Formats: sequence, C-alpha cells, structure tokens
Amino acid sequence: MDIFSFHLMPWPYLPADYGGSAWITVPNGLYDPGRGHDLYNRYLDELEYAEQVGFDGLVVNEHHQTAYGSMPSPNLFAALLARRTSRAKIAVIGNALPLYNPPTRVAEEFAVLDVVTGGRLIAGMVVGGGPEYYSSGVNPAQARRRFAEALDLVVQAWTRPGPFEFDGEFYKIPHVNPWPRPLQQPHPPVWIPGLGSLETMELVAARGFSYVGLPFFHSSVFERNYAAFRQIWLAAGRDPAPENLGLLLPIYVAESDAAARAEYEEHLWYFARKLLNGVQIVPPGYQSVQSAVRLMENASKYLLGVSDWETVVSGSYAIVGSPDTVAEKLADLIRRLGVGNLLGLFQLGSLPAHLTRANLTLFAEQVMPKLRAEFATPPVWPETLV
Amino acid sequence: MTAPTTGPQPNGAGPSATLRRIEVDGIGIRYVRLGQGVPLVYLHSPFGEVGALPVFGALAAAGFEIIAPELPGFGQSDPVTTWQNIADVVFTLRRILDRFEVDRAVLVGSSLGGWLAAEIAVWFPQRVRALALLAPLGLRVEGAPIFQIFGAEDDALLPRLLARPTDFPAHLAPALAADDDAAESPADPLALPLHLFRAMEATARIGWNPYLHDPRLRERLGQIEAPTVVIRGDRDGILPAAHAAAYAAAIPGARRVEIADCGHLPALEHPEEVARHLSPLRRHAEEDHTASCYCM
Repeated sequence: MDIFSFHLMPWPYLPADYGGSAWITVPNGLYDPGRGHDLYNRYLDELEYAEQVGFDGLVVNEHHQTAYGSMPSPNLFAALLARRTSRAKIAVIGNALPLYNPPTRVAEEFAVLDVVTGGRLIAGMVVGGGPEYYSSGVNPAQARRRFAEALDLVVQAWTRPGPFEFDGEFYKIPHVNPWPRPLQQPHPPVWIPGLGSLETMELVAARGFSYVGLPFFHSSVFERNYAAFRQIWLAAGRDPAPENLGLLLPIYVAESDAAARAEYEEHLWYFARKLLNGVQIVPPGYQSVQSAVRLMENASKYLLGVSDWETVVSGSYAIVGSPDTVAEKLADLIRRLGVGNLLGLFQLGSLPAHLTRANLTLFAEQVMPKLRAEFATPPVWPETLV
Repeated sequence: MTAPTTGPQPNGAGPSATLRRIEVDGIGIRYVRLGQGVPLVYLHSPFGEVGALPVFGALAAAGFEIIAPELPGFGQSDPVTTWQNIADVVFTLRRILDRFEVDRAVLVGSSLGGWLAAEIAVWFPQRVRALALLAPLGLRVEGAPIFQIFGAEDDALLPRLLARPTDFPAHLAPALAADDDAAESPADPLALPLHLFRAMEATARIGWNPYLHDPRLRERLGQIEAPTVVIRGDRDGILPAAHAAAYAAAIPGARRVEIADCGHLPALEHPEEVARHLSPLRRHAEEDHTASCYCM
C-alpha cells in the first residue's frame, strides 16, 4: 500500500459574494499575487511536510485559469519538490497532453524530473478537463485522438532509440530524440486518471498503465467504475494488480468525529460550492455519447450537487472523523475497490495551514500505521475469489 | 445514380421527404431528395435540420429538386473524424455533390451551412448556379461577435435563435423521424438531446477554433460570380447584422433581404417567404441550364 498526499493548491480567497464559476471566466482580478506568494510557499511546505511524516508520494496536477487549482504547469511544482525531497515519489497526474504541442516537451520534462529525482517520478497523462478546452482553444472534438497519439509519441520517445521520425495525424516531428532519457526503465510508471469512461480503462489495461478515478463522487460511482476497470484489466489477460489502481479522495482527521466535522465542514463547502462550480462544463465532442450518458447518470452523485453533511458522510465524498473512524472507512473502501494506492487530499478548499498540518500529522501518526498493517499484503480483487 | 424521389409530386407539404442513405467514400450519409426541377442543395444549420421540412415542400412547389444531406457527424450520418480544417470539410462536401451527381446546383445554406455554401462557391465555382446564404456564419467581424453557441444553456440560446423559441423541438422533429417513416414523430425523450449532442460535436469539429469562421474566406468572396442573395432575420440574436452586410459587400452583385419577425433560422421560421425569395434564383439557373445543356 502506497500512500500519497495530493494537493490542488486552490485559491481560498474567493469573495463571499462571488457566486460565479471558478473556471474559465472567473475574473483574474480576484487573484492577488501577494497572497499568492504566501500561498504557493505554504502549499509547497505542506507537500514537503508530508514526506517528512512518512507519506510514500506527493501528487501535483494540471489546471488552467481556475481558482480550483493553481498549478498550470505541474512539472514546475514537481521540479520545486524534486530538490527539496529525497525519498517520496513525485506523481504528476498529469500533463494534459492535447494542450502541449509538440508533446515531446512532456517526454523531455518528465525525463528531466526522473533523472534529477533518481527515478522517483510517476508520469501521469490526462486528456485535460472540459473547461480547459474553452481556455486553450484546442478543439475538444479532437481531444481523444490527440491524447492517444500524444501518449503514443511520449512513450515512443522514451523507449525507441532516437533519433526517429514520428509521422502522426496531429504531430509530425522529423527527429524525435529526447535528451535526457528517463532513469526508470523502460519508462516511468504511467498513471491515467479517468471519469469512468470505458475507453480510458481499455487503453490503460491494454498498455499496462495505472488508473485513478477522478474524485468527488459518491462511493457507489467508484464501486461501479472500479469493478469495470478490474474486469477490463483481467479481460486484457493481466493478473490482478492493486498496485495499478489508485483511490483519490479528501481526508480529514481530528481528535473525534465531532471535532473533525466542526473544523472541516465550512472548508469543504467552500470547495464544493465555490471551487467546483463550473467544472461540470463538457465541451462538444469531448466525450462519446456512451460516456456522456454514463456521466449524466452519475451527475446526481457528484459533490457539487450535495447539500447536506449527512450525504457527504454516507456517500464517502470525503472521509472525515477520528483516526479510528477514518482508518476503518478507508480500509473498507480500499478492500472493496481493490486498490493498492491511496491518494488523499489533506488540504481542501479554504482549509487553513494549521488544520492542514494537524490533519497530515494525525493521519501519519494514527491512521497510516493501521492501513500499512492491514494491507501488508495488497487487497484481493473480488473477481479472483469467484 | 441514387434512387429518384418516389411518390407524387410534392405539393407544398413535406411528408414525401423520405430519409434515405448513401455512402460517400465510405461515409454513410442520410439525406432527403424531393421535387423535380432545378437542383437545389440545402446545407443545414448547426442544429442539423433535415427531413420533411416545410421549406423543402415550398421549394419543391417553386420548381426545385431539393437535395438535403445530413452532413457528416450530424443526425444519423457518419462522422468524418479526420477533418482538421475547413479545406477538409469542403472537400468532403464536394464529394457529396459528386455522389449525388449534382453537377451545378443552387446552393442554399443556413447558418453553418451558409458558411459552407460560400466556401464551395469559392473553391468549386463551377458547381454553383446560384447562392442563397441564410444568416451565414463564416466571417469574423470586429465588434460584432457571433454568439457563443457552444455550452450555451437553452434559456440563453433559444430566444436568440428563434423568434418563437418554443418551436425549437417542432423544427427538429423531422430530423428525429426514423428512416422511411418521416411522418412519425419519435417518443424517445433522449432523441432530441442526443441529436443536439452529436450536432454540437460535429459543429465543433468544423468551427471550434477559429470560432465558426474561416479567416481567409472574406478576401476570397470577391471571386464568386454566381447570383447571390443574403437573407437574415431581423431578430437574429446569434449572428449580428454586420455579418450579412459583410457578405453582401464582399460578393459582387449580392442582394440582401431581411425577414421580419424572424430569428437565426429563416428557413425554419418563414419557409414560404424564404422560398419566395429563392424563386428568382431558379430563373438564373434555367438560363444557366440552357447555356450549359444540363440534362435532367
């Protein structure tokens, strides 16, 4: 069981009277660079601290032009962490490949990170969020094909002796020959986050990559999606591999269940009501009809539409409570989903520095040891019991 | 040659506008073909209207043979996923005209289809007898942006689109009709959302960025020699009036018509009036027909 600390680096200072989208059109006059200076350094401290208290990995991610997350180039943040950490894996999940042209830049930057960190990189690659197609101008009707081709190009760049010519539909490069090459061989682990589309799972299974379900859904959505993934993975002729599955969700630990709710609730609502507002935009062509229908079915099970604390708890939208409560709930989910990687968001919304640090400390001291003991051997996939 | 229109001569109504299918270079295309007379190709808007539309009946009664394909990716036509730019789209359209064996046609385009009709007139002028552009997209006019249709909610979009917004489902009902059963209206509540989902995807494939225009088109419009009429509705909230004016200014001899109490889709909202304005194009086309010995 590898346990990661995931950060979104959100903007916690949207005005109380701002009710608009946090994406695409949120006026950037609301961004205050002076506060941003403090915030970036605080958030990086929180990731570094996670390594100090025993997390196995630190996770950064890519978002553009949004108060939801302020890492437009996650590789910059991975680089900032690379020299300030020495043990933890650095997971970038991921680079939004269709937004990079040529995508060989991703192959190069990931190779640099892998070499500098001595092979601590996890290379995530994503299609990019729906709002990012409005922000970038990239055609969403080409998103899936661009992603597939760019992914192929990046992996080839890492594994095929260069120089070679790449002649794709979207990318035509006379000499692919990245310098450096990655340290991990044949290439760094590739993680692909997904919203539940079967096409993404099939791609991950076909290539032996790893899958992480995107968060903030009711646990029943995870159960359905992860069951689909396990079946697709096994159908591809592969052995059960919990280490190729990750679970990502918000976690908050305090002395008691009551204290956890009292400290956390307002910050979760800031996230759900302010920062998630606008994320649901799906540009035309971004999804297949089947995926859109699947997502529509799940729309009522997304945190954006949740209005009461009881639903947050019963749906496991966030795992909040005493160390015992949190350990028990997480162990249950990990077992049911068959995952070998746990990615926790320990800072969410407007959760302030002191509570974030207390959360990380308490989790590391009182929850992490229990999970490590419980999953000394990885969870067994239910399909293999049949 | 594709099957000719069956049934009686259409007479103002459209029930004989049966939806049929052909293949064009391996792409399945659904279409209607009705009436007898001067060939008229109708290219639809971003909303993919096709089928037994009143405007087709009115045009058939005015002496046109209407050929209305559902463009790739719309409705039940296959998508062309390899399109990367407007030239790719125009080439596909030329192949569709080839497949219908339409040598020279009156080209009528609504909105997106107006843009595409203008492109065909620029690139393949010999295929165009006359041109009717209904609220044509395709140009960028400084200070007069096209309304952002992608991601627009219905309550923002429909009042800009139609003078009578509640008519929207009725205008698209013929496109939702099953093949060979154009008179039946489907009961599936997902039929219209799925139709629009595909229509927006196909429109994005053509015009996501640059947004619903071709930056090179305006400077090329001066090459068009076909008689041209540019029609817009006076209540069009999608396309500012400056766009129709820009087309009319750029195409030599183009006429401008404004239809009262009409939004962005005149062919759907005022079919009889549109047919009346298009009727003179048939005379142009007949003169042209004599000159070129086109055989029906």
